[in-house]
Amino acid sequence: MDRSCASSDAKITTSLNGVNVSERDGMKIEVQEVVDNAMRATFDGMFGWSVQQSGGRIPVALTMPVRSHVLLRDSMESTVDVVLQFDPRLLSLAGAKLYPEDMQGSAEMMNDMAAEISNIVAARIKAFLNGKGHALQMSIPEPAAFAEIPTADGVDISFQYDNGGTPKPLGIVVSVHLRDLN
Amino acid sequence: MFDLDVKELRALVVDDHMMIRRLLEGFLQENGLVKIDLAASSEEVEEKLEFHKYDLIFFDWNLPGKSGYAMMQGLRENRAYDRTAIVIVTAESEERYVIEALKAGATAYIVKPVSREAFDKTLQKVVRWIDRVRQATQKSQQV
Repeated sequence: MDRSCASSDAKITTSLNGVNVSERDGMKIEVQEVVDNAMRATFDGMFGWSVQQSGGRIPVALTMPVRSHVLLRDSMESTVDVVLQFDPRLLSLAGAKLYPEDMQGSAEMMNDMAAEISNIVAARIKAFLNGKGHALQMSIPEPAAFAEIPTADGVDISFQYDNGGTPKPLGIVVSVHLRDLN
Repeated sequence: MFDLDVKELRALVVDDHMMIRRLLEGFLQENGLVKIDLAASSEEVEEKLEFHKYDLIFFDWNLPGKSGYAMMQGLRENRAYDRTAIVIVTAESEERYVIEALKAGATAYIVKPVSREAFDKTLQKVVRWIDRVRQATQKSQQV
């Protein structure tokens, strides 16, 4: 479902599919930085938590993750899938002070948190790409099944909660994939 | 700091995600506000507006159904809400959104993720705005 955000009058000067391999690799590195900044700001600002990248490794503890998917799309041929996968224990801990007792650990709480965090991260990616001349619009975050995780060209960035000493094995994986619609 | 007592201010927080509603509610309480209502949709907003006059409203831009931006536009067309501060709280950080919101009558604009520091600074400005508007209204009534 597309968001009813403001209509864009920005001209599409580039298509994501139109960039060459080295430009695309450069873009992936920049997207990785955008995601890193967004994740750090989100966890620090909203929960007072520090998260750090876990060197690209998929955290071992990421079983039965809570997934949220946001679609960035322009009117031409570019689509960007942003999928965030969370260790449910991380969401439970982070949300403990925010949600009422009767919601603690519930699927409703997990999906609410996953959706809001993925919304923030996807919006940052959209702003970055639109700053490069695209005209992407953003969908409302939706829970995602494993089969919906894109396998197209992109980046997977793993994060873990840093409690000041040894980072806890509580992970998040952010996948940003450029999908061609041709 | 202000002529008005923040305890007297009534605030409405509108966001489809409970995480943000509860986060902003906590920030407002820590700033001394006690009259705080929460709404998750335009239907809930309409319900609340029937019963209360709000001094400040926090709208998420993007909501399922009627957007926070559209709700703000609706309120700004109604003179009864001239003295209500409206703050857009959104993940949309692109400049064109900020300009569009301010042109449409937003008193302030906060980009998510919302940190306590950024929220407090904006709230102080907004309370000052409410204070100024009230004083200007009082003066014009005296005249």
